[in-house]
Amino acid sequence: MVDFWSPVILSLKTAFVSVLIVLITGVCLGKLMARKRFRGKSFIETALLLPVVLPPSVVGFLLIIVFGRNGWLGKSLEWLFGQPIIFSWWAAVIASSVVAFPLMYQSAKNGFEAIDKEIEDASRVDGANEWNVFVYVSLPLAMKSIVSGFVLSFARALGEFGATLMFAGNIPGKTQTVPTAIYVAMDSGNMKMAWLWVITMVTISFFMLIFVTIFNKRIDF
Amino acid sequence: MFQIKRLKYKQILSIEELEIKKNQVTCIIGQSGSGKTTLLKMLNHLLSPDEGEIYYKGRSVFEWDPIRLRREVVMLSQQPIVFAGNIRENLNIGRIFAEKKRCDDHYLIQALKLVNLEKKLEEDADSLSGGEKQRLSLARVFLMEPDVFLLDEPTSALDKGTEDEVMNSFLTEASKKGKTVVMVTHSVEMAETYADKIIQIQK
Repeated sequence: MVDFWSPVILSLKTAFVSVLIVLITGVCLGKLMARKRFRGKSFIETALLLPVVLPPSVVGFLLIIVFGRNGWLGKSLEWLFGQPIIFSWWAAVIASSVVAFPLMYQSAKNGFEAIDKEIEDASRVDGANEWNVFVYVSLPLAMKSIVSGFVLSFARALGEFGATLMFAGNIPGKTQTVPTAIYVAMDSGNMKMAWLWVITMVTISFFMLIFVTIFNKRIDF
Repeated sequence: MFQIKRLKYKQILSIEELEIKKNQVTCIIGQSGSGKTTLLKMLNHLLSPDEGEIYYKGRSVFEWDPIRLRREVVMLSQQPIVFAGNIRENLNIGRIFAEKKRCDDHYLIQALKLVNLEKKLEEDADSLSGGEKQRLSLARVFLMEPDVFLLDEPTSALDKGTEDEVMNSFLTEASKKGKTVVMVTHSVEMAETYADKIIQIQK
């Protein structure tokens, strides 16, 4: 008997954790890169955005090389946590985070770049420290872009297939997310389950987009 | 409050010696490009001179932590800045920057009356006119309760009648609270009406 809910819960759990990771890293790096000018900036930015253009199988391959049992990082993590990262739930989180990060980063960076620097400078003139400038001035003004980035990166994390399949595997109850479950269901002729999961994904995506639309309208008013 | 000695900045400013006293209104007047705003920005270390010393409360401004200095010596720029949000949020944000407690609505409304701005606290700050934004910025700066107000043409967007009302009530309140005001103005008349000391800067 195929469990309908396990891949759904696993997908949502993986996507939420991934998107939290990319929200923090994407917003911080986006803020930094929006204003800083330094040598090598273009190179670094290209590297940060690369996962969005690379085929998922390439991303999966590189994750295996870096985090696999033969890589130095994979060996270190295995020594630290007592088990390999590869074919674990955390591997699914890492794969989703890597592919979702560029969407969050680019959205956040665009949001921060669009802020009139005079407003940030005015708050510094009023005695605000950098944390206050970030929390009370920059973040509110960039919020629309950050929320859009959040939704896009959540959708990307939720729908991650290729890199997840290669790096985390397709272990039912452990690393089998909805996209890989649909693939397996179709492959084995279980169209009913495949349809149920497809409808679930479409419904989740639909409501996410509605949320963004309503949220952006609220900000405008 | 401030002592300035042998100050030089590019080809713009050259001041041998200058004192700005505590609890007084000091007006800086001069032609455009004479360095009035530049001098103001040096008093809270937004700009550094090429040569010379500036002392605030007996200590060089370069020795002061810039953030702490700018919380005691608050500057109002000539171009009014409003932050995202409504009037209430704009009035309180200066206090948040200075890590002070937010003011109750009662004090916010009093600050709006001080600058002759009859608006509801819930109104969007961005919908205000240029003159209203300037008065809102003045009210925000007032609520920050600094020791020194540095005002750069604080009423440039106001008509003569409103300018007189606003400056009269603002400076009266500032004086009552023992504040020091350093104000750049293009109006010799305003300087002669309100200033305890007038500094004229020439190009």
